[in-house]
Amino acid sequence: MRIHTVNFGDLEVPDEQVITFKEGLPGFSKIHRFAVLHVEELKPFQYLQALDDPPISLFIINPFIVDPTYEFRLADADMEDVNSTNSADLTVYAVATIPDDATRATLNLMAPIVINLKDRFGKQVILHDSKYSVKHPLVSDGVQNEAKDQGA
Amino acid sequence: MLVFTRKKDESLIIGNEIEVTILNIGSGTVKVGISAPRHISVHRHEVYEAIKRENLAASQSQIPKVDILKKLLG
Repeated sequence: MRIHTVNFGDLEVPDEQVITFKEGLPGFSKIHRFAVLHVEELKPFQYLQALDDPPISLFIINPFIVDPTYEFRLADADMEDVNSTNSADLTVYAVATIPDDATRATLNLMAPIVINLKDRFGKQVILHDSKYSVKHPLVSDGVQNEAKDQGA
Repeated sequence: MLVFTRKKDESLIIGNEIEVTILNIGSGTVKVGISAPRHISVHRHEVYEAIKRENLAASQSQIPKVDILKKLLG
């Protein structure tokens, strides 16, 4: 399918890359189709691009790069929602929020995006009673201060 | 909005499949049990709202700012 994106203009997304989010995302419950765009220049970030209206896009990243100790247990109901019986088929991303001062960027570790790559279903899972925050700092305070000193 | 008065251990049925039971009543808090089919997601309102807000904020992020971050992440 052909889609229009704000950042990359018109793009052709092959059907086999379309991921269905049955419930949409909190805040975007009417968007059911997304694609993960791998853009070389954005690495280690990737782009979760909505294929339905509104055509929003979210920066996502492998959360284990930021917190190697990140862990959670996926409920059976969540596994069912992404039509999966085998966690080996699943890929986990965290959504990044990047404000005007990019050094204060955060990751939502409380609500990871879980995608079943085999059957192409996805869900933003809410980790109840977890120690993780919706605003986990992406870079540590030290690096933030260093960047500010350098005028980044 | 429908308003009911319930005592401890009494419940409500919503539709055919959802049952809400008042398990305990304390001072200022109530403990509620919910039985619902797996496809019905149940969340604390404030948690769901926080995630909604965060997704909306995340959707405002822009590529030039990612470029700065890439340098920070090394």
